[in-house]
Amino acid sequence: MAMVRSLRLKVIVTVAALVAGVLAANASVLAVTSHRRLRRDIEQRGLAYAALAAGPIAQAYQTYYASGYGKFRELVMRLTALNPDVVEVAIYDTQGRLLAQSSEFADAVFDPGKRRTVVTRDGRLLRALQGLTPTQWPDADPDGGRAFVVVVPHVEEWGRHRYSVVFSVSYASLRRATLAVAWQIGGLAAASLTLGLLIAVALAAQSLRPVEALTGSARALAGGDLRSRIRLETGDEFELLAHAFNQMADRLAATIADLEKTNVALNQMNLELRQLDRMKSDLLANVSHELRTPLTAIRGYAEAIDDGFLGPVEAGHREALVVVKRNVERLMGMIEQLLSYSRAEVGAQELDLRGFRIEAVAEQVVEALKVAHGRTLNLHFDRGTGLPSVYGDPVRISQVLENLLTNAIKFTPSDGRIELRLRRLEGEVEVAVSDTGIGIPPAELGRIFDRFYQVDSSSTRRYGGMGLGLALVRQILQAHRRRIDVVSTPGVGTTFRFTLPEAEEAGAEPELEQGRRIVLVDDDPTFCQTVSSYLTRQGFVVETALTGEQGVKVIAGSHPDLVLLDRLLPDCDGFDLLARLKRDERTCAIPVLVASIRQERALGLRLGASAYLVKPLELEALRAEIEQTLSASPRSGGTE
Amino acid sequence: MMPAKILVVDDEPDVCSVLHLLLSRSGYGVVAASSGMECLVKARGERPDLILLDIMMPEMDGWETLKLLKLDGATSQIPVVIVSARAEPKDKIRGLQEGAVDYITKPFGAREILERVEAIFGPGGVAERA
Repeated sequence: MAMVRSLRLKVIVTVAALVAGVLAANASVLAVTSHRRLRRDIEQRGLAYAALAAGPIAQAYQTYYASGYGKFRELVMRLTALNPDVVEVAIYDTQGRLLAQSSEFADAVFDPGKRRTVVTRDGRLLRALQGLTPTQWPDADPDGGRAFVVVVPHVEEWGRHRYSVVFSVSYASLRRATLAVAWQIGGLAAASLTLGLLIAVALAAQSLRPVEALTGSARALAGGDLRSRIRLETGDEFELLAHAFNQMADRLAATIADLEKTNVALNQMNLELRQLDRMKSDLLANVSHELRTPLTAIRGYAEAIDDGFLGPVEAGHREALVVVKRNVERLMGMIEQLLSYSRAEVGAQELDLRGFRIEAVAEQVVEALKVAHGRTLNLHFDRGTGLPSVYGDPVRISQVLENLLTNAIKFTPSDGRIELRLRRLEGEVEVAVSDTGIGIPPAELGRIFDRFYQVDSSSTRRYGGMGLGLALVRQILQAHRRRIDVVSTPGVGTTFRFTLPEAEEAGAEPELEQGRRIVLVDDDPTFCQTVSSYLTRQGFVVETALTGEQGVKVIAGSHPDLVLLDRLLPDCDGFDLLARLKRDERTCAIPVLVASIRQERALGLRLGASAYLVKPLELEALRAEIEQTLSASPRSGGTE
Repeated sequence: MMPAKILVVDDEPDVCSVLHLLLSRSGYGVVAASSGMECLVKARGERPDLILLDIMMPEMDGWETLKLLKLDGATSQIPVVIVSARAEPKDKIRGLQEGAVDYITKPFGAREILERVEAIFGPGGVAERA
């Protein structure tokens, strides 16, 4: 509204200034001319009066002055009353003697015989008195205002010149008359100005109405009312503007309708895509489950035969059974990979991001692979020096390392060398996995991270695997917003490299923290992740181990305040591990909580467990149990 | 002493037969059922000491079968071990929450399944026999 108001004000002020300017010029011209006219009027009236009155006054003087002064006085007073501008009438003789003057009339009982003789010394007056023609010149009136003097010589019938009549004419009436005229002009100007202002206001309102209509509609449009249109029939530019506005509104409405339609379609498509993606993930999961069932029968029978359930086994048969069992293992591995891939597809929102020690995670993976592949494996681990904590999901990163190393092992001949190297860079830590394997042809480098892709399909037979490992690696790193680089020379070897950012928070240095340290030994990565992130949030420092072997190492290395142990581990029985920890005097003081899906509380407690928890675990209950166990045992950290 | 009797429930005859072989050769009495409905009938009739129950079965799946077993007073005390190809932690948790005493994932190893069954009948196990 401010815009409109200011526009209206501008119109009004402009019109008013214009009117006032014209009026002022008009009035000043009028004032000057009427002043001049009035002045001339006074002068002319004065001169004409003097010419007419001089004769009778002189005669009256001659006739009555000496004998009937009262008569003379009355005559002259009556004559002077005819022109109010005349303030003084005097009669002089040619010698400049003052014979009579009207100012004496104020005294009603004036005695002309007693008047003092006054002779003027004014040269100009004397000259005029002796002349025969009327003369006039400016003078001051008795009040000091402007006036003029008219001298009219009186010439008698036979040409005798004895007296002159001198009139003093004042301009005093000029001021009054001019003021009256000025008032008239001023009143007229004020009336005109008022009228002009009224017209300006009306004009402004009239001409701004279309603008206001446009503003209102534009505002409604901006507010989202797409049906807002303007109906204007002013026949001028405003109507054109309104028309253009309406066209614009039409276009806008059409565009928005289109956009909305597109949006709906996109949403629909997005929904369908997501559904498809979920179906694909479900399919992947279902297929892997379905594949397990026939494997159950194969594995069960192979092991039943191998264990002699169907009678003694000949050496040749046993060899065949080993092959069957090995391939069952491979199939199981692939199914596991399929499943973990379908799980990994969920994306970044599922990551459990925090600061962790990459060298500890790497160590666990390397140790597990060494156990799985035997001591002949030529795998070197360069843990670097002075590495900071990194920020990421430790469980997922451990999957990345495992897949990269498994991949390297698969494509490297037994006399080759594999290396995992950690290196500190500016603000991040670089992880590099290199091998001296068969390498990857340059043309294939871009595709090795695709799902189900393997360099030349014949290699599938030779090297096995489904081509999911590297896809999983890339997916996990993408969820971390990290890139993986690969450099490879066929026949020489391959190096994969990625970096993880340095952890920023103070809590990123778990080793330096004073929180209670817990080691979690469980083969289920999901369980590890859930429990570890929960306990970390509760202020504990948690390390995880996925196998019994790893567990022993981690416990011996970090000497935690408490161990949470799964009863069923892939490489050993949790109870065996418990017994081992209790036998070793360096670890026997560490309280151990055993968690299992099996009900074996009595056995667990007999073996030295501090508490026995039945899975599934209630996280709150787990924490309560941990707190209770820790408060019952002296703090062991740092005493070694 | 009567050998412990185990009811094996699986819609796959091959899986049933391998379980039958392993368990019977280990000295258990084995009864097989190929559907959830058959399981419910045999659980009442045969009074087994343990039920090995598959989850993914047509018509009545293992979850429903388990629920009905636990609702029936005659069968609610029989320990149930789930033997399933579903290896997701959420399935394991669900199984144990619904009253199963153990959860074995397929494909199981011969020794693994025998040990786990033994643990149930052994000292400290839920089906420990006097």
